[in-house]
Amino acid sequence: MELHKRTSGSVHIIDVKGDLDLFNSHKLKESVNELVASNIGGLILNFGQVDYIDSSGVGVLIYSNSLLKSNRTFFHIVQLHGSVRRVIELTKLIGFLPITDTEDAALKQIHGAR
Amino acid sequence: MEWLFFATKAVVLALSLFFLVSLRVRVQVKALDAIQFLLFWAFARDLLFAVFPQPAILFIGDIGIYAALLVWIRRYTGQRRSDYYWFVAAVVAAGVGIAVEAQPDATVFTVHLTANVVLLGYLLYSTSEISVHNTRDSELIVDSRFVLSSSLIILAAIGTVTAYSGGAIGHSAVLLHYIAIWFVLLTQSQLHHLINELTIASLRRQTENLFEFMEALGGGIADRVDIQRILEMICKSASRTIEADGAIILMVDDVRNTLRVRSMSGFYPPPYAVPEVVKHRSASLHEYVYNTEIPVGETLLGQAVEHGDAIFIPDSTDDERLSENTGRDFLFVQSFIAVPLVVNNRVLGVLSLVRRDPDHQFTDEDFQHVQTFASHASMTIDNFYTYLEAIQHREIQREVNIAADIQGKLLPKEFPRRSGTEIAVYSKSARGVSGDYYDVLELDEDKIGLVVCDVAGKGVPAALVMVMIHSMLRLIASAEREVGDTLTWINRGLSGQIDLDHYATMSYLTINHKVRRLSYSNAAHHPLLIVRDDSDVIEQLDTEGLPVGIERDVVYPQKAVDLHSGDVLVLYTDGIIEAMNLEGEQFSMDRLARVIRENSNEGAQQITDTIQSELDEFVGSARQHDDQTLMVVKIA
Amino acid sequence: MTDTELSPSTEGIVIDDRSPLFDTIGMFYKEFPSDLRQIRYFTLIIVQKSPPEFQEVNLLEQQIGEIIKNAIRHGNRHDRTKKVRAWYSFTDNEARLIVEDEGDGFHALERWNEFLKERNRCFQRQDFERMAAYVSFRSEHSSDDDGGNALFAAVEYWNGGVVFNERRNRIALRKIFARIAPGIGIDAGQGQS
Repeated sequence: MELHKRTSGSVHIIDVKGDLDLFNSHKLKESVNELVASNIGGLILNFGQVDYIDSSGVGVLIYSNSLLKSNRTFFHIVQLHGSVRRVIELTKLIGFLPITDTEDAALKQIHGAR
Repeated sequence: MEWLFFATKAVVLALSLFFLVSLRVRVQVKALDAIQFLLFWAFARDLLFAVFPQPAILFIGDIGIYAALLVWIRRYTGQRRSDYYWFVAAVVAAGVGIAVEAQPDATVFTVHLTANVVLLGYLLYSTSEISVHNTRDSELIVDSRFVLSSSLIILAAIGTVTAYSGGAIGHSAVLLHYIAIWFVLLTQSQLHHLINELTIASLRRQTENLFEFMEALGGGIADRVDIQRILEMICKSASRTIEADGAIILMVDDVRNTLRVRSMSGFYPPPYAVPEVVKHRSASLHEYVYNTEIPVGETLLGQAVEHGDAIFIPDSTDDERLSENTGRDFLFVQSFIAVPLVVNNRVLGVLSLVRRDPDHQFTDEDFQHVQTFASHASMTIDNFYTYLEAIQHREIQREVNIAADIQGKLLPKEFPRRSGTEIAVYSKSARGVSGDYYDVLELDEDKIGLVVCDVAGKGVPAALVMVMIHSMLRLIASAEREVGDTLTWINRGLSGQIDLDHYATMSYLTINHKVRRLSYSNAAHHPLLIVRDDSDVIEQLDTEGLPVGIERDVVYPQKAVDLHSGDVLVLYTDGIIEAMNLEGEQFSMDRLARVIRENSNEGAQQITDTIQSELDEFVGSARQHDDQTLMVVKIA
Repeated sequence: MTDTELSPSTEGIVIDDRSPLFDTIGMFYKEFPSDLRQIRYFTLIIVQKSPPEFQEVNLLEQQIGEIIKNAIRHGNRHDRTKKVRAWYSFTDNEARLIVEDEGDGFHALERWNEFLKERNRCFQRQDFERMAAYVSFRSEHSSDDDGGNALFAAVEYWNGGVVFNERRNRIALRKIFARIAPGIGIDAGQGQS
């Protein structure tokens, strides 16, 4: 798995690439922790290039959600697809996790809310 | 003279009644009975006046006509509290009217005038406040009220002026009543035509909706087959066609024997109990309904599916089936329709619609419409499913073919035959697997390399891993490189790749004919079987190691043994020993070992053929689950 | 919550030694070491036997992986000398899996079932405030990289049943694949067509 960080204004975007599983999901968790500590305007996780997730990966998404929520920071997960989306559905976290179709839509929501 | 007037009125009455009856046959109109009463009342008045020419009869007759008209109007608007005061006033006016009849003319005139102004005033006010916005079906009143009101005013004026004494003017004036009623009936008749036209227009609109729907479906096919979009389209169209307030489609989950919501449009209060917390916000209720799975047979929706019968409840009042939906809250439903989506006696799901306006129930026609619509929709959905299945089948077949093609191209067609060493291979691919790989490499004049490999996974991804191994083997393997090192390097190459699951068990061995020595290294594959020429004991040769592709830094050890003429070496994959017959038994290592032992004196090809035929016999007609590969080497 | 409220969601995991889901006849068998590094490999080996017509094979693989991971983590506690045993079989529309570890069993099962029930209730009502307390199940053995959510997905995914043995170290699961075209025969409410 690789993580690529970008920004759009004060919103930080992490492009996750590859499989998110118990061997590497901690890396994503650390990145999220670092960003949150630096007082950002919002965080988007782009899952467009993730085709596999396991329960540890799902755990990191739950963790990130509650961390950013308690920090009152905008958080969106975008471009979930295929079996990754199905896993989230089966775990009944659609609705609980802030899932948005596209990055543009997420950015619009973040900017619109301000 | 009096009787002539009376005869005229009788003719007019007869004509009016005929008109009224003919209207009634054609149209269902509210409150025509009030008009009918009014006609009879007027006629009775005139008949009575012809016999007893008392002004009080005409005066009380007018009050009766006002009362009848008020009743007529109230049939549209519903009772008002002030109506009771009016009736009391009318009764008092009638009593006072009769009582003052004996008094001098001036008093009579005043009483009549006052009573007329008050009573008629209220009637005119009641008529004037009606509009199509506050009263349903009020077009008739609105269209006829000007003529009606003015005729009543004129009549009252004439009656008062002539002191209800009859005479030519009085009689002519009274005729106005009949004319006014004629006008009401005429207006009703015209309205009927108009409504007819509106109905035709609405039918046309519905047809257009259907066409639009069909067109949209066509678009759906052209873009990309998306059953979800089709269901949403069906839901919306059905709702629009009969002007429902909410519509829902649930599809059957035949594994769980439940219904799941697939589409909702408008606001749909469900016909079952919901927890208190979601009752008070339409958004919460919506979410709750969307996420609630309904067992087949439970609730009205489940029943419609279980029996395949449509359910129509035009009026929820006092209907137990909708007992959850009669309160004045978000759950309120006035009319309910649930139609199962049925094709060839198979229920796919259910379409349900509700209307929430208490004054606007679903009609039988609406129900008919939905049923027709649902049968079209079911066929459409079924066709889509068939189409999807066909597409999926084609795609699977394509993938299977591509993978088999790759595998077929990589496997060697013929083997080097050096110093009499005989190599035979039996390999049979399972449809869609393509994970077994074997290879024979000529490393130099004296040395050959043999590989048997089982890639984990299946299909094109497995075939691609095979391509990688095939290429790396050709880069890495050489006469000089140790077999363990070769595996170590292949493993390192494979483990560096991301985006691909690339694991394989792999046996790699080299045979040096000249010195009759074998080197062997194994990445978690089945051990190499060796049957010595002078023995029927099967030796197993194995080395430690993970499958390739898991851990980048694994170092694979190796073992070397001496070979003798007549020794038999066997490598095989899972598919051989796990081959299953119809009873669920596996071919097993024991059977394989027995066949090898019994035939170890034969040539490699003969041993392979025997194993193959035993395997075929064992498996019978059972499905082949996995690729099967068997490599047998006979040392010369 | 009224007692007439619909709750057709899964009843959770039951304990039943005599469940037909434990019948291993006709199933393939493999033993794996308790080595998390090899999870993906183990699952691929298992899924390899499935027919090409199976839908969402990636998801099937992921779900099998979670079960084996649980056996290694919670059952064998990463002890590499302990084995994970797996039985598996596939027909045209069904996948079956039995996984056994050498641990002392899933003792928190009852608590987990209760947890699941409450979690499903929150989900059905879309009550995400409350659901926040029910997203991950934790027991005394839960480690940091353990999402605590794998079995929630499992009871949804394995729609043909999830059963533990009395010792609670052997889990049997069954997945029935829906045909693309759903549908039941009329009046087939009691059984499946």
